[in-house]
Amino acid sequence: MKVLAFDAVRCMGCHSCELACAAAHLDGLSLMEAVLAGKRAPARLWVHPGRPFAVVITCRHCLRAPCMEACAPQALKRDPQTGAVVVEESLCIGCRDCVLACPFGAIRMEAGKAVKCDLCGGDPACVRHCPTGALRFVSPEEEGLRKQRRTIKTFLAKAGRKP
Amino acid sequence: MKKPQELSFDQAAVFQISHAQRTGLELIWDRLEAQEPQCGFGTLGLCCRHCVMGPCRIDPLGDGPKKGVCGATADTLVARHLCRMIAAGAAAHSDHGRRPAILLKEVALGENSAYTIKDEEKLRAVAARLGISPEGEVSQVALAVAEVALSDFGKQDTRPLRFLEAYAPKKRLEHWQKLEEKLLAQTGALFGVLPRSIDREVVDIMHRTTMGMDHDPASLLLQGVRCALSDGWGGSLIATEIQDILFGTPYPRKVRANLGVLKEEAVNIVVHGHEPVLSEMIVQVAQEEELVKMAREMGAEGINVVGLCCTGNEILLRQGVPVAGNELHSELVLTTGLCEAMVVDVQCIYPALPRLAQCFHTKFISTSDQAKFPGAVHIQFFEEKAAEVARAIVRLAVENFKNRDPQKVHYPRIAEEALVGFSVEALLKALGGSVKPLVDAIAQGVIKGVAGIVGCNNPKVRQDYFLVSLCRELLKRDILVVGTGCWAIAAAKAGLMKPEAAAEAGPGVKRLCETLGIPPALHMGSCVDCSRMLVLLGAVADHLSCDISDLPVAGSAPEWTTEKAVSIGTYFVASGVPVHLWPAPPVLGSPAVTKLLTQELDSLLGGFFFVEEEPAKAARKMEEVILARRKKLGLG
Repeated sequence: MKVLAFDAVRCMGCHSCELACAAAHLDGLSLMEAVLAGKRAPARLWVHPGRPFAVVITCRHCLRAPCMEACAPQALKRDPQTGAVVVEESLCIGCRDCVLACPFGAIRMEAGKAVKCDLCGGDPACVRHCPTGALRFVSPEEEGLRKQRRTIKTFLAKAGRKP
Repeated sequence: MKKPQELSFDQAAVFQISHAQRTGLELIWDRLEAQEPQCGFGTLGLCCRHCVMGPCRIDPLGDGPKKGVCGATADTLVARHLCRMIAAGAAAHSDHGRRPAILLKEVALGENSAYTIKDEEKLRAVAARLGISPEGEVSQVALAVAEVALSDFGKQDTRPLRFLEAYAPKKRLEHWQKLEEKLLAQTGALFGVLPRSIDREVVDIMHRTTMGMDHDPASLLLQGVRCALSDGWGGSLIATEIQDILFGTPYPRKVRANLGVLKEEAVNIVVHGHEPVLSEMIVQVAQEEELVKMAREMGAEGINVVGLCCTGNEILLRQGVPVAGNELHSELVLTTGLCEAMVVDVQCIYPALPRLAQCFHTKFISTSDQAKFPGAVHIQFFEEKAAEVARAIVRLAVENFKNRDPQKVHYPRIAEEALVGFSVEALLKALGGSVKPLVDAIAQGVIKGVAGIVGCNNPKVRQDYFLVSLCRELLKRDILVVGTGCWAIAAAKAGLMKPEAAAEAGPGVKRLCETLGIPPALHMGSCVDCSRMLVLLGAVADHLSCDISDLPVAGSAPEWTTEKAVSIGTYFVASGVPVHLWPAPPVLGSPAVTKLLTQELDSLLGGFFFVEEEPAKAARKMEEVILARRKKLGLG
């Protein structure tokens, strides 16, 4: 299962991910149509302009998710395809326990319901719209292997050997 | 990577894009793909970089900021940005017009002997229109006309432009004057619609849109209108009229259009950009015996000058020089491997071209002090030494013939015939000297009305698809189509400018075309020549003693790209013509400005914008506008 990875060094703080996220959750309307219709659609990830780096806050889709454990009506479910923790709106009673339980602050309330990242069904809009590659959608296992390879390369280079 | 057929509607382009994709040449569509998805803030017009308290952007959907650091709202941001787009577009057209105006003065004073006045009749007609005595020495009349034009650029009083006063139809002029008075009476505030001087309106916008100035969307847009009018009835009109005086008024002639106009056995010189001043000279010297002989010695059969974009349109109309294509052909023409030189002046010249030229033997030659390109050979153009400069350019191209690599030559043998050159003068001649036959044809319902299509290709739209399909849809509905710029080249390439193409049109347009011996799609010139459409509209309005906003006409820029197109669209709307646009301009971030443009402008100016993605739907909407106006005129 892939996760969102954020590289603070690459982030320019352009907020494109936020707008893309909101635009991806417009019930089929295009961004332009939604703006003209005066529709509200909050983003499900947030760029915080920290110094010297911006920080993106969003759901980690924790493997042992405190929000799911806290959700009494079991409105928070795991999408078997993507591994995302998603809200089943019809079951959500607006108790806000998930908001309190989330250690990252990645869940918000909108019109009485919990709203959070759903990984866009496996192709996150925020990643597609990130112009610098600061946001990536990666498998942690592959990411680990990639780093191992990079480490080996560095060691070999230091020893004067070709990898 | 998208399939070539999805990128262009033009089979020559499809052929050439396939070749580029196979050989790994980067084209504009690849760069567009690399830019996608494009920024939502920019698309909506919700970012501002006018000061360094910013950059600011406004969140259109969520809980993010609704104001910039200075407090500017989405409405202000969008209106300010649109206003600057108009200023940039008007500046480009008008600065183009300044050059022939100065040249006419120099020729009149005998300071430049490289050029002459080719069309004395037009000179005297323009003079008469401006209220200058058309009698007497040519040089005296020319000087007086040039002085009026130059004064319109830089005068400091608040009277309207003299060109505008002389050319705009009476009712329209009154409408603008009354609008200014009405707005003052209603609001107590001063709003200007009539342009005072061409340069001033651009400067006014740059001033007005800087930090802490005009923040009222309506006020900003009205200044945009004023600036656009200084382009249409000022800078562009001056460009057209004086270029006609210097180089000749276009009359119908047959030409060929598309990449197939390149000749394998000849030295090919592509002239690209917008101005005729240098390209006219290149066409002229390329026929000189010495240079032709030199080409033969190099093993070529001769020298083949072809045009591209609006420089192409200028020499196509006046010299019958074949045109290789419109804007999106500018890279494709290089990929043929057949160009010894591409010579450019100003506007719409991609900075990607010199790098692409380096993949071939092609010399990419820039000539304008205002448009220089890393990777280009720069041969500075001086008007007083025009022939010498043109010869140096042609010589360089001829010498380069030997470097052509036959392995890299690949081009489609596709070119269409077209009957072009419908200046207002030419149209009047075809109509027998007056607009009456055209007016009668409309009044009797032979044709429903007239549509103008202009401007640009845009890689976001399948090349020529909207330009050509919209034209066909309108013709089918018995609406005659006139136009300029990249549309005109698209229509020529698609065969719509052959008189036979009238067979595709509705019965009325077909009958009218057959009677007059004209094609159903009329090539009126380059993009500054949109002024010809204004002059035609003015002539019809004055003939009927009505306003342009009463006439059954509509406009469209269906593949627009540049800021110039925003200015053109705005001066048509401001002159009383509803205008269709695709793609949507970056204004939708402000529903208030969008409403102003699409609805409220109509009550102020008798014209409005509308956006439509489908050619058939756009045509239907244009037809509705035309039918509604017919009804108002009491025509069936």
